[in-house]
Amino acid sequence: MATFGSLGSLGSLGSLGSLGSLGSLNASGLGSFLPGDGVDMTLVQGMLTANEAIRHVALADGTPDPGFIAPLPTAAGSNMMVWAQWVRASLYLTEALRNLNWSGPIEEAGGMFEMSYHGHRFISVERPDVAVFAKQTAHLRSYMDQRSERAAEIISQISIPPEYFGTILGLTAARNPRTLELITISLVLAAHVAMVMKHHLACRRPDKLDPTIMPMITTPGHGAFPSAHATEAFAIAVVLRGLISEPEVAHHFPEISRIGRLLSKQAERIAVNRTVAGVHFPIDSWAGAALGEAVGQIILGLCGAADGRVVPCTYRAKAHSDFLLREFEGPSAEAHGLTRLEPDFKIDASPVLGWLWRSTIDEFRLT
Amino acid sequence: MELNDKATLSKIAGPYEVWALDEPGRSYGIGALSKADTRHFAAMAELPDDHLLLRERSISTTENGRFRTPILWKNAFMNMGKAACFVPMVFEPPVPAGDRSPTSRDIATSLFTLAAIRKEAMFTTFGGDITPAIQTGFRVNSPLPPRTVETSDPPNGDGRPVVTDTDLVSRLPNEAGVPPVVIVAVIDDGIPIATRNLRDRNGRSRMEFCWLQSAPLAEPPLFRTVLFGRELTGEDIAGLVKKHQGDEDAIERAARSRHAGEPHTGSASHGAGVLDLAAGFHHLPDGASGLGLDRIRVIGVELPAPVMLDTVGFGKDAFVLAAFHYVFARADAIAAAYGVKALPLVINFSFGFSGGPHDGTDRLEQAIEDLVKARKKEAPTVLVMPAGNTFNSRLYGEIDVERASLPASGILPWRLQPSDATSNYLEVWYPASPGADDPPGAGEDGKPGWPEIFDPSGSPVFLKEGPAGTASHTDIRPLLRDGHQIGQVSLDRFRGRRWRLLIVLAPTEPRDPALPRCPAGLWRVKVDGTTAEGRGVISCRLQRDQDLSGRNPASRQSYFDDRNDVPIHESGRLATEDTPGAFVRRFGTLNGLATHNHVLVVGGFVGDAVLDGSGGEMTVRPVPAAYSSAGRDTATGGPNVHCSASSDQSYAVRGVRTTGTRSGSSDRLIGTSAATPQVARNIAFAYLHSELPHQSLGSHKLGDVPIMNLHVFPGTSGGSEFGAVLTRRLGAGVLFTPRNWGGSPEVS
Repeated sequence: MATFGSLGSLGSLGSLGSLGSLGSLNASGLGSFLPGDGVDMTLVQGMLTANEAIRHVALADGTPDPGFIAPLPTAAGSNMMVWAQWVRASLYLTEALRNLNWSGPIEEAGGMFEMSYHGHRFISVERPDVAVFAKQTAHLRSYMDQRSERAAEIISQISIPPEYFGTILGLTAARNPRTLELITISLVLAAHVAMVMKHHLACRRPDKLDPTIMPMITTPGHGAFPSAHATEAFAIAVVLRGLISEPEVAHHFPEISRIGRLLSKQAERIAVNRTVAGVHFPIDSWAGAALGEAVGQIILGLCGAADGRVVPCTYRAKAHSDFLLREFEGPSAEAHGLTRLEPDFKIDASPVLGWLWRSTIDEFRLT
Repeated sequence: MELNDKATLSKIAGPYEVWALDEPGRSYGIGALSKADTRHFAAMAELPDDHLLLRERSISTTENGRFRTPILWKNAFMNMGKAACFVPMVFEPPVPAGDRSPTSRDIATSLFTLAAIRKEAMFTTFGGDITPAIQTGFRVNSPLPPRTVETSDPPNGDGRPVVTDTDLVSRLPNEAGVPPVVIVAVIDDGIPIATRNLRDRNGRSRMEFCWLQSAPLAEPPLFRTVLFGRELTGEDIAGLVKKHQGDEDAIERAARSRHAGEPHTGSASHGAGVLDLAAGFHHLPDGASGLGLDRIRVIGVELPAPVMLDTVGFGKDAFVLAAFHYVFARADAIAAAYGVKALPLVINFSFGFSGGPHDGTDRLEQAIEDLVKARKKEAPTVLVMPAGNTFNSRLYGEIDVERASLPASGILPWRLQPSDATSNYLEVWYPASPGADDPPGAGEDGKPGWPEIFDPSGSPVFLKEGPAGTASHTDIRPLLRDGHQIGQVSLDRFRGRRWRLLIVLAPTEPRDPALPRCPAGLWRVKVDGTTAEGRGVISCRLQRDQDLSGRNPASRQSYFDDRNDVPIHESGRLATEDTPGAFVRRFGTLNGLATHNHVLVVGGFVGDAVLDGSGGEMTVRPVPAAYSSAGRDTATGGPNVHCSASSDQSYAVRGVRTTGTRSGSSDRLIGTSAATPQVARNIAFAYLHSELPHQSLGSHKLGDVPIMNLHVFPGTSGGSEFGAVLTRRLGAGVLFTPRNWGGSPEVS
């Protein structure tokens, strides 16, 4: 993250797995969320001394007059380029979340938990019964054999590094700082939304249902359902698929349909890795992927992307489901309890995310 | 021409061919095969001894394709009597109309024509009343990439001459009964061409011949000596070394003419390790260079990469059989060059197979056995193969009706793994039943009782009704789940002897997401066991479905998940015996290509076997490696392990130290594949130095094979301290470790 993430310290919020950095608290109580590091007393002393030594040349013809400086435009996206990274991150987050709402789980509505954006319901998820989770443990045991093989992925993805998607698009920090910023904020936003749903549905992790699972990494301090990793990975995949279908970007890639398939496949891989690790049920990935798809679409809407409509869905987990992209994307999704609904809806673009989107597209205008 | 004789056709296109070549099975294969990629097929033919193909190197028909043979050993079919002959071949079925690849039916039609050709004449059209001889059958293997196959008539097979080194020849012994040199042949993958461990004291490679079966044809055409792939002689290798000034990256690349996008030889390979252990320089046993490693000459055959990658399906029979013919033919050429009629030959084939009948009647086994038997009449010839690494892999189970060894449910528990992109295969072998033609579970009407199959949710999957099954031909039926075909079930009488039920299940995660898949989890198969009552056990075998090279991580091994089996004892050690009453069996896992009478089978043990200085007794008792496979009927002389070598240095340090593909690199090779070449090497040395102490395995079907550094267990009947358990796993003895093992290589 240090070399690649471009949202500075906020990048390490990562998959909120690393709001776990709350564990390593400093006095702020929010870990590295707040700025203030890096004060070098020697540097301060040196600057003070130099200041005293040179200021006389600017005062030789009288006191400076600031009266002719024009004011900055108000509430303009273009101001974003002059704000610090963490300020931009804060603005993206508050802007995107101010229209989010939720309710439930409502017993009368069959225990459904609903989330809406700007008054439009975009996802309804049923809290699965414990018996459903219990049956899912068989899948976790099936996947255990792959732990050693996937260990490098699992450990490096405790907070998902943008590199896993950057490698598909050929991103580099020098050329694509805004693209990386877009990936990171998509991840952070998805994580926040997922935490809301996890908190309200409060489902136990696999190791609580079957002690033989023994996860290969520490079980995180939040609920199992939905998987935040699936939410984040699918939100990123949807946002990047939207990005590469913008004409200015598309013509930099030979075959965007192949790249699109890779982005979604990587998201599936990241989600399934958590099942291999022993911390998520396949149905957690179903719920997370559905939520992530919606969050990705909301982000595209806020960005003012050409492809920016949100398709609402409902999800009722099935005990037998394994999680495979082909089934999540294909017609058999319904058989696994995921229904995508009509009509879709559109979201108004936000100035700050709109600025990020246009800046990101600009990074691909290299010819 | 239209063939409607379904019975005959199905004799030719078996269930593996149908799944590999026809929809939907072919779509699950590795990579989509284009039309151009499926012009040439490799196959192994079982033909009567008067068949034209045994004499002609090429047979062309006007309508039904062309059939050609690679180099065949000249004495292969002598004195065969009326027995069946096994011939490797490359054939081109007619190009099907429309833009498609050949189906199993196209191929069967073409092979049917070949089968009908006897010595009388070449048939250019098909006569309706001609039927193939009784000993006729085919195993169709994978297609060959176009640029690796000769398109004109095959080369004459004599090859280019062996150029001997005059200095070496002047130093060779010249006395009756002492062979001037001994040949070690290694058939494997990833053969390193230029490794320094194979060079003699004059800097010349001891590899006299190497056949790279999947390399592009040699350029210029003048140098084309093989029907497919490319042959390198010792001169070629010397030329490459000189041209590229010893840069082995450049040598390997030039030798294989890799196209852009094709993988280059990696830093380590199975074949590199095996070759080094069998004949390489730095693993010299006692006496080092004084024993004259220069007198061990090498023939290498590199099997096509897909053969090792292929998780069954197409199979590799034709490539392997062609490799043996090639080795025998070139061994004759080497003997002639060194001025003798024939030389001792040790063939190391570190390759395992978990399927098959396991009674010596697999076609490839029988073909290899015939060849080895025929050569033994001329010179000492030993084939050495590994026991296999599946002792604890739960790939084998037995239905023993008398002993009620079926799981309590009466149903085979078959676990499919998630993320598996390859098909899974379960073979059920009924006991041999000469004369008893009724298929398993047959009722009054003689129709077979088909198995009942349940998916992991417990729902039954259905067999699509096919044409009425009879005892005379293969009956293949699609397996349906939710209206989609997700597998295939077949029943056939394998080579007219044993009923074989084969169940193929599609991958749990096919590469093409549009294809139907089988859910991962515990599948259950209920098979008929009553038919076998009083006639022996029913063997249930899962095909190996795992690529150990790591190049194909999407193949995952299915296994029998038998709750009655105890894999780990209370003490924490892995089971070394079968659990009474369990379906899963460990004894009976022996390599399915090493169950005939002319192969020396090598197991693996952990650590060193050390002899004390005085009485030649073992001071360290060898412990069988947990994976080292064993035969079933060890007490009654059935196929079994003959002797063993160390295959793991210790429980913590696995494998045997060997070399990578580049000179000076090192690698570890784990498994009975690593034990086997150590035995091969010590046999070769025993032939070279019959005056030095060596042992043999005693009276045995193999004859008196001399092995250096072999310690034969005292009293292998089971009364000794080593006991029956050890000999059941390790055979009659073990290679002990010479005192200078592990020391620095001696350089002369």
